[in-house]
Amino acid sequence: MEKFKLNTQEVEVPKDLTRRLLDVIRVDQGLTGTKESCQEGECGACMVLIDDEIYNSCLVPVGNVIGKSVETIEQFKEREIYKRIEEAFVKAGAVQCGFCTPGMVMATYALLKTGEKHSLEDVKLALSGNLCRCTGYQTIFKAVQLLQEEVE
Amino acid sequence: MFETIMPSTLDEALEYMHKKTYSPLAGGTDLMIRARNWQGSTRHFKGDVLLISHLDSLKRIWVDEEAYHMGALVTQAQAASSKVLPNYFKAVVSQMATPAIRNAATLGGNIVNAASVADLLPPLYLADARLVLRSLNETREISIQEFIVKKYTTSRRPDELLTEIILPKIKCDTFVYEKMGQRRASILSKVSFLAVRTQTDVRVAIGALNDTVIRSRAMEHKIAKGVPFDEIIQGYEALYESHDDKRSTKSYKETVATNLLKNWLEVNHFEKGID
Repeated sequence: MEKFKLNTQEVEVPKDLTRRLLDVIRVDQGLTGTKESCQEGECGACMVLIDDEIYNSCLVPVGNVIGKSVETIEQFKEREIYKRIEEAFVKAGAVQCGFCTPGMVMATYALLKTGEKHSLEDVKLALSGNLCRCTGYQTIFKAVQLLQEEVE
Repeated sequence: MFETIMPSTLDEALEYMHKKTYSPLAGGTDLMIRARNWQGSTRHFKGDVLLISHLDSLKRIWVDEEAYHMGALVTQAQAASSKVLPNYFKAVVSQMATPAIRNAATLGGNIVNAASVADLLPPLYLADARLVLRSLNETREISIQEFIVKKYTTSRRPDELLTEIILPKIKCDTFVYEKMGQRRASILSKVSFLAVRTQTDVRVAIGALNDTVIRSRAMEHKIAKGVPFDEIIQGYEALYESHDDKRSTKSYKETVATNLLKNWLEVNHFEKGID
């Protein structure tokens, strides 16, 4: 049986290899931190890390992650860098309903892990695949810029 | 219920495709949406599916004297961050979709999909790109113009897989790429305009306006010869065949295309000619 790593667990890949990774995470494995919203790769609510790169799990057939490592917000929140992102989001008031937040955190991480300092324009582009219906984005940009200040 | 096959090699994939018609599924950013269904339920694929995203032999980018070669499974992110691909190509690919989509979406997927708004097509038309199609018993190379028959229709046979994109090296001193859409990122183009110039030559491709990319070598020669702008613009406008769609109106798209062309002609002072 083919497997992939989901957070700390080795998980068996379902028979239907076109089953969405999102359904395996939420329905089969009961990990509901990853959200479902648009179902077409526009909103970023379902964003997860596959081998440490961001992907929209609603568009990933589970066959595509065989042998790979998938990380959801449940595991990502244990990381040191998550704590910094959380602190910045809290400080900037970047969370209202919270539905987009796991995806926003993932997209923020993808930008931060480059280790470079980015302009506001870069921040906006990095978060361009994540929709938020509450904040108007400005507080989220502010949070990411607070994190940027820490970059030497 | 459809069948899903995950071949372990390219040759094995071609053997399956020789026997039966499959939909090759790579990054999933288009086909998974078309097969959408309720949460937790089986996707609505109309035919059998061949998962190919793991075929590493199709993920290479390499360069020889004449051309840049890209495997069909090179992702948009991989192309955008490539150190060897030309800047005009990277400018196009780095403005497609969003960071997470670019990590999954492949170059081959955008081309084979053959949408009129496919952003990769203008640079391929611009450089007279060629595509390699493989089947079990044959490897053939055809031009992008021969490949794209019309909107959403290609000349790929059901037993063939697009394996490689060959982008000939063209001279490019400066280039302009303008992608017009409802927002700056994560958007399908209403019109795109790509132009490169050298000391003696120009190339122009207008995307998303017609069902296929507008490219005219005859008009490019006229630009280089310093033919008056009015005549150039009329020449291009005669090639417009757009229509109202859900993203925009015919009138808007055609006006924008002409403005982008006019602006580029003026900024480059082509009235003097460069030929």
